[in-house]
Amino acid sequence: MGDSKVQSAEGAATQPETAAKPLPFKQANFLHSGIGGAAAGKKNRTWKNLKQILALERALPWQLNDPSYFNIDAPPSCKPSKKYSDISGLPANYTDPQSKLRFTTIEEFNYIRMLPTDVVTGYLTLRKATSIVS
Amino acid sequence: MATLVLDNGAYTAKIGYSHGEVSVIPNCQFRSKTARLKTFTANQIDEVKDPSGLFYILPFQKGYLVNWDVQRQVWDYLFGKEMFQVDFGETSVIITEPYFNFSSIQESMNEILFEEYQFQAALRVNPGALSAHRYFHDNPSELCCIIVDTGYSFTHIVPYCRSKKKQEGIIRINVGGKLLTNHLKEIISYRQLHVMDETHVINQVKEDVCYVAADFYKDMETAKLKGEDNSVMVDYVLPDFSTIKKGYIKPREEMVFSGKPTAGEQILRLTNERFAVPEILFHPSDIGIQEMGIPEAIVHSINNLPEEMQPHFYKNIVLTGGNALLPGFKDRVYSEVRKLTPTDYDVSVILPKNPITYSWEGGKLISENDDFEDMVVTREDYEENGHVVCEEKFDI
Repeated sequence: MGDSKVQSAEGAATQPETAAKPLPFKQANFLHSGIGGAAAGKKNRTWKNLKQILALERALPWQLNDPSYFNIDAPPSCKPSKKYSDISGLPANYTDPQSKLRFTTIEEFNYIRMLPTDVVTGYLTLRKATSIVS
Repeated sequence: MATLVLDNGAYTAKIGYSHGEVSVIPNCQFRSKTARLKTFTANQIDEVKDPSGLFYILPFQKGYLVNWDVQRQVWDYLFGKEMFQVDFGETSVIITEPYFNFSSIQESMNEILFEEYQFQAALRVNPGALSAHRYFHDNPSELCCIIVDTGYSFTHIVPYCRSKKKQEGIIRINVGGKLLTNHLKEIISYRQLHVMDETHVINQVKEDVCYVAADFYKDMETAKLKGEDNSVMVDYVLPDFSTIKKGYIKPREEMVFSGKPTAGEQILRLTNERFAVPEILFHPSDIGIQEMGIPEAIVHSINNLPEEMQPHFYKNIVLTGGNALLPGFKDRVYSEVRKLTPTDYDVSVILPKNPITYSWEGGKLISENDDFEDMVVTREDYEENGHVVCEEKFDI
């Protein structure tokens, strides 16, 4: 595999160092897609992680209504979400105002009040209900 | 010249020659707790004697191929002499990629297929295109179909009209089998037994006991009952990997409804978890993912399409991907879509016999097409023109 080293971004067309077997089709300003910038050593190639790829992709000149990875997410549902008890999984009508945990019966309520805070936050993260502020 | 069809999923790779049979193989590497230093690739997992606390190394992240080192090791194994003995000089490959795959990933894929493995020709497609091809092949009179591809990382809803995908109708729901397994793992860990490290075991539990409720609230009422009236409740015997190699559901006659169950085997008692977990596919908002469920998204997608096409889509809803195997999935999708559509449209939901390999079979059919030669990019083409020719030819 002929690896090309390009220090800067695509625009600056520096002459690439061709590997042992030069491949004629490779463009002068070719940047190996899997390798982040200068880290183009053949041995320890590091592939871009998803975050980097996403950032790169976001920078592309998208038209407003082009479908792409970023706007094909399903829109929010019109139906109300169901409320389960955090303890038993049964439908819950009540929420403990202190811990914000949901519960079905009075026994569960007693149990909730005995829980330490880290378990409470654990239960809340299960349904992504932890508030960022507290 | 042989053609290798590879539906390269995030959890399993569906691979086989177009003239042969398909194999479903885990597309990842494993480390086990007992043999710490050894890495097991793909279906070498069968050699693991004690698969408790099995650790997964996945090439995919959120459904996109990012860890090429792992992927190449899996492919080396699959293409190599243990498995498919690919003669790269004489083989073309059909390989699948997720919808709207990122261009940098596509380019890496080209390079690895043509330069590292030196395939003679390659066709990169979306799995949905293969499924649609299979569907139109079986039902030549239909014009449109909508593929619901519910896999490991996410669920895509993709409308196809005469084998061309309608980009404006594509919807992604960020709920897949992985999320279901993880959620089940978490709620079991909170409610009864710590199983956070046992992804492999819990995945088996999910496949064995979970189902989609036809009437969620009715099943929830049943799940509230105590003792023998509770027909939803099952006892799942966990494997200990010495005497019990694989977990199983305890027969109802042997269940102990009051008091402590007999010692010696570890039991998970599952009630509402059985259907509340797959319910996430239908109501992601239950666990705080603010997105539509599958039936709602199908209807939303179809409503984005030209009105004349809509009735054709409603009667050709095809379910593919591993989650479609959940019992009751098809009936639930049907009844909910039916409720959301005007009565003068026919609704029909099709569940193929094997939703996991459905798109692989489509790939097999495509390779037998007369114009297959025109669809692929050959290695000469690529060496002459580079990525541009792939970008032009492949509809990703």
